[in-house]
Amino acid sequence: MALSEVIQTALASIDAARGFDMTFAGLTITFTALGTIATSIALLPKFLSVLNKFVPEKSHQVVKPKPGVTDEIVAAIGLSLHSLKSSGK
Amino acid sequence: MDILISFLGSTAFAQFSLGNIIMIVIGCTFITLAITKHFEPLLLVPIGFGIIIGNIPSLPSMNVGIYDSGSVMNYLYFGVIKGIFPPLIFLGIGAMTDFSTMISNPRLVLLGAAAQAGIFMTLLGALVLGFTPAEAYSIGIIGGADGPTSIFLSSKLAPHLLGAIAIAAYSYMALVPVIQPPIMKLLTSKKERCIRMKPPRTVTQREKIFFPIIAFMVCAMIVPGSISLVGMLFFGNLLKESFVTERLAQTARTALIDIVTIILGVTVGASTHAQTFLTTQSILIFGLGAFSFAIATASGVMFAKFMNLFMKEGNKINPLVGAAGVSAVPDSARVAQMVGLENDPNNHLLMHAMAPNVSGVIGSAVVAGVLWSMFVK
Repeated sequence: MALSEVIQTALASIDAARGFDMTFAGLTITFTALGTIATSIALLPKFLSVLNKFVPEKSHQVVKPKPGVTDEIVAAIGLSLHSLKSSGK
Repeated sequence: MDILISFLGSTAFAQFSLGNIIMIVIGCTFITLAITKHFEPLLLVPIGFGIIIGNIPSLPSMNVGIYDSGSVMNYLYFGVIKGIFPPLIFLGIGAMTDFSTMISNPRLVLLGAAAQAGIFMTLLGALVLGFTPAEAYSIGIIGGADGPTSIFLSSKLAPHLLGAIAIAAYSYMALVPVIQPPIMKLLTSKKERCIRMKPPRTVTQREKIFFPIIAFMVCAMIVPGSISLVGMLFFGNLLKESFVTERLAQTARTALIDIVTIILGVTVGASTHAQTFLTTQSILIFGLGAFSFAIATASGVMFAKFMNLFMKEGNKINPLVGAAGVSAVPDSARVAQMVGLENDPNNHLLMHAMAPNVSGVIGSAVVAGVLWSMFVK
């Protein structure tokens, strides 16, 4: 089979299943969805700056042990607190 | 004596075929690669052992095989064929993913979309090779480099190819460090590979909380077929970022995703019976899978170069991060970092590459939704 025939057969198989239409539509929808997300993210700081004027953002601080404080020290502090509470002091 | 002979007839030895031996060798290869080369061990060890389980022949009357109705393996496999496990895995992925780098640099989201071109090119290739449209859609999704998404879509459209598609998807995900670098180097110049990108800005907690809700709304409104995957992904992320459901997020990203991965891996592996797996179709699927990964990588890189045409100097994108648009998280981002470091030991691209990487996860789930909804129309 000549190369041109192979290509024609391949194109016919794709065309029969509307493969090109599907590819075009699929890529368009994907870019639209992710493009809309990208635009929304880009606009989000502006929206939040307005929102922050009315409802200021609270800081969500996670309490972490200071450097150098090992698990053993934390355990010892916990044990001391537990002993104090148990003894009613 | 006749009891002994009858028993010997029921053993696996009596029913063993060459195909079973080949599959067991493949299973052992997966386990070996996972243990010695550390190729996706959390996936390849369960899948590899599952392949061994699935290829020990048994009498149909014993009801122990994965396709024997009422067997334990059949019940576990239910979550795969009904598409239950992939959304649960997405829940865990969402609970462990930090979208900060993507939120701080929204233009990189488009690289995740561009890399999905691999899916559609593979779909066309599958149609040329004579697969039906439903089969072609399922095979194409391998290019998304996302195992759960591949399983989800093939369970809906081509359940008979699920084993081959899942194995191909996970195998190539494990081979990302081997497949991607030559393509990345081929398509970029040394100068491009050395482009330094601006460090990402700090993202506020409020942005991180708003993001999953907005992104879900966008995806679900445009592609309702993606609701179960992106819904669970962003729900998991909201659990993580809201700070008030840390316990739930912790469970989703550890125990839950681990349990589901174990069951999914073993059952997908066990579904690869030699009789159904060792076919010409499977070989074609593996070939198309490699093609789809290559095209997805190339599309991401080329689209980054295309975007650079419109960017000012100092604001350009290193095209290597485009390759991370395939959603193999975080392997493809690591590959971008690795190739970047080879060219400039002080240019760390990992943080930048994570943006298209996580956007690729969203992109492949969206494409799965698109393909599904196009087919069921």
